[in-house]
Amino acid sequence: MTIFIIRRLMQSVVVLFSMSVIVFFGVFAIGNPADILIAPDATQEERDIAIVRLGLDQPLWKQYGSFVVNALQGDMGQSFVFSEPALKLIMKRAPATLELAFTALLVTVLFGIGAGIWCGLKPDALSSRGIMVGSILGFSIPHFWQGLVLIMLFSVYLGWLPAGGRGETGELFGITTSMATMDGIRHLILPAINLSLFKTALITRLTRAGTREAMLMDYIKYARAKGLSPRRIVGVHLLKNIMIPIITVLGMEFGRVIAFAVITETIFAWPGMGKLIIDSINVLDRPVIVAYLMVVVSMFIVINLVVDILYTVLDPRVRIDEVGT
Amino acid sequence: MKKNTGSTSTPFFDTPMGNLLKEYCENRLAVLALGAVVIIILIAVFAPVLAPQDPYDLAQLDIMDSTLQPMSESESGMVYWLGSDGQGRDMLSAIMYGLRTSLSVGVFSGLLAFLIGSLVGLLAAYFGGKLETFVMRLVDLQLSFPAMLVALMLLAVLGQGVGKIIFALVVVQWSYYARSARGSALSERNKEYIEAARCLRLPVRRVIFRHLLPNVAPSLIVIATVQVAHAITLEATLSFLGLGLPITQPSLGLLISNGYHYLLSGKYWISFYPGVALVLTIVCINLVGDKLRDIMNPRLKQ
Amino acid sequence: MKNGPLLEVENLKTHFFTKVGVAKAVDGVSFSLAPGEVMGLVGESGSGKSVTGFSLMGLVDPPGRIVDGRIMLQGKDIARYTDKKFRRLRGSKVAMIFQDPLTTLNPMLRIDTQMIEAIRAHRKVNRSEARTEALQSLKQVGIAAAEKRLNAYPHQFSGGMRQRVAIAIALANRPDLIIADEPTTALDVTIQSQILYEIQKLTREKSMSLIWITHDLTVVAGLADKISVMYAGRIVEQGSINEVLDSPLHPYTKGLIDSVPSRNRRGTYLNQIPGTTPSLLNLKPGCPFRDRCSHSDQACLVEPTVTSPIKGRFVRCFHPLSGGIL
Repeated sequence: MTIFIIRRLMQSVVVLFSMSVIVFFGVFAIGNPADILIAPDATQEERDIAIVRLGLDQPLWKQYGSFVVNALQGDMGQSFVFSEPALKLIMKRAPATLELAFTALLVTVLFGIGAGIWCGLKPDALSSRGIMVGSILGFSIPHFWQGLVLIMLFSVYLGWLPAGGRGETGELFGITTSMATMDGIRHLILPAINLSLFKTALITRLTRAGTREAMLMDYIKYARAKGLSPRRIVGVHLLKNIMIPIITVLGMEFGRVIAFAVITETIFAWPGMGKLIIDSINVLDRPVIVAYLMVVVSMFIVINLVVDILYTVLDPRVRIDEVGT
Repeated sequence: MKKNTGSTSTPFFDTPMGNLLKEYCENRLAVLALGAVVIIILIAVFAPVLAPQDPYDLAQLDIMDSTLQPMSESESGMVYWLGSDGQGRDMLSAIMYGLRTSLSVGVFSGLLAFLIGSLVGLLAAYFGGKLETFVMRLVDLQLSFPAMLVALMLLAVLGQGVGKIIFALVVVQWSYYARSARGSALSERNKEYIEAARCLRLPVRRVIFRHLLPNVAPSLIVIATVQVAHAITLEATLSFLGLGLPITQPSLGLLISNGYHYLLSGKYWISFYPGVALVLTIVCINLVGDKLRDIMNPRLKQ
Repeated sequence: MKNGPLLEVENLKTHFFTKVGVAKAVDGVSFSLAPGEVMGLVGESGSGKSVTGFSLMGLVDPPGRIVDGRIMLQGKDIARYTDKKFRRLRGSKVAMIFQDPLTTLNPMLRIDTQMIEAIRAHRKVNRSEARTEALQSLKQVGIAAAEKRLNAYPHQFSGGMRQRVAIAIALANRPDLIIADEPTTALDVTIQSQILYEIQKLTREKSMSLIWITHDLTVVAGLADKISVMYAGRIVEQGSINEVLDSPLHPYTKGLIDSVPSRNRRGTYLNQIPGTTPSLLNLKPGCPFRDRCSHSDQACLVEPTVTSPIKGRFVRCFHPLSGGIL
């Protein structure tokens, strides 16, 4: 187990390293690096000074070296627009995004697994067919347009929920969150639904497929032969067996949720890091772009790592065998 | 020799393609979706002929006709079936033109990715070794990030433009083809007919294109349909975020984006109808792809 | 009730309503079982013997269902029980052992969980009491270091061990009847005989009735008191084990016996039954065995009824073999 984790950690480092190379050469080497790092309104003289100061006259590999050294110290440059360290800017916006992402994931788990098991147990029921058609729509309708329709329906026509912004936040268990106030929750509902629809559709289908497959297995019939209640069969015997792929996918989807938060945040004017990156791209605030990319890449690597470890922990067959060797 | 066994009466349905067609036609929804896809393509191709108005000929636009409700009639007697946008542009025409842009970007990038990806995948499977390891590592690395994010990164670096978005879409998509092409080619490679072809010392090119490719093609075609839908969605999303196509070539995504601000003041049609067109396109393509996948996947056949 | 049969099955019909037709997997099966009696239910695959077993457990899945007949368990007809009512019988009065021990135990749950839940599903005992009982049960079936093994997962056991665990679970609630659906087929021969011995011993000790479903005549030969031979959804011959094996009345039974290799006939060709089991879908009227039977004639175009040419023996054939006793 430890060996596995160490091996997996080393892989992560390699991925992070290669991603830093790609991001560096992508952002820094394509186009003129001076344009990336120096404010566009600087004079020629200021530019020359800055080029020397930033080491842009150095060979590329040396520049990469200093980029890595700085990045490791948390220095990813200053935002042109906000005149703040780019990394700090992103970290300030991250909680809002994480809150949105976790809420969306919660919605996904509750509805996706519930609906999936229902559809798997009663594949021919009208409600199941309805859910499956709905899930196809959830797959096919582009994310951003789902958001627009939600706004159109619930904000513009029905006027039930606000169309954008984060609303009032408060402290809950020492965390600043929208969950603390009614206003905050009202602002959270539509973005969270928007962000979760696609995942819910995915998890529903996955759970349904897993359920249908598992229900045909001998151990389910055997559990019934033991006289267990349907609740125990579904809640323990079935769920434990279909859980591993679901958790794996959920883990990976968490990364996707953070990526797709870019869209949701733009539509609902949610002040997270996704909105920040779009704003930064539009004004070419490149240090923020670089910092965002590195933060998101790191997040992904951590998530993938956690999912892999979780996978081995959850499955007794894998778990014990690893211990044995 | 003289006896005719009479099995030649339906020669077409005995071919693999014929069987495929027959099986496809068994599902009414799938046939309907295929018909819709054909109609959508025709609309896109013949948009300049079909559209009531050239939405990008400024001479035809009148600012007095801006943000008209659907079904309203302008002073010049033209009916705006789906309303008009802020510049007095007929939405129906704009959607037809937008469809043209969206489809061509989606199909073109899909085709390019198809070619590059499957070629790389086939080569990797055929030659194996370091090339294969390298390619598959790259594919795995890329696929561990959402396509949206990769495209976003690329466009953040490259900037806007038709060529750039196609480039980004190809980069995002090639890996799916590469993975699938390698996967199916690997299982084919170990079969005896490839062994036989190799023993005959047929040139590599011939083995790959005449023997491997036809056997790998079905699964790649399924991926291609789904990927084109994916590319259209992705392009629309990026355009919506303002990172995709320039305003001079508005796709459906950009139309939706333009109508976004009107939406909040209740003028829903400017972004709603382009969205409906987009969703219909994607849903129909996906339905076709789903059915194709069901046919091709022998595990699901019962 | 004391002297009455434990189980009486009358004219049981379980049909599967598939898209391509009705498969009459069990079509008019009748037998009875006294307390402590062991019956072998023998037939080829597809003869409906497993479906008979599942019918007795109320575990026939759609599109299948029991369409006719009675299943009298201790005087009560359970054939029409709802799933909820059936659930109280399963695992407590009637327990089942499945064919493949590798797939019947839930791979994600520890052995103790799977044993305790079986006990607690039917009796109000707390966790630790149930665990103690589970431990007893495990020891009974001959599992060494049972205390330690309770905490293990199924994949840490061998196939034979898993089947012992399954037996332990079946015994845990001291059922009156155990239905064993080919429990030794998936095991090695040496393990097979151990399991056989174990089950035989335990059912004798606790005077439980046992229905042993198998395709293997040699397995039931030493185990069962009586035997029912199934063919195409019907029981074609029934009687005490020795009588049936010594002098089969039905041509099919004889065919089965002759196709078992034996030491006494070394060097001679084995007799085989020509052809294969008919598809249960849209079965032709008449005796389903007639196409494979050397004795068949015009009479066999009509479905034969059950006759009892000898006391205590039943056969469904117009031309029962004499075997020197008739």
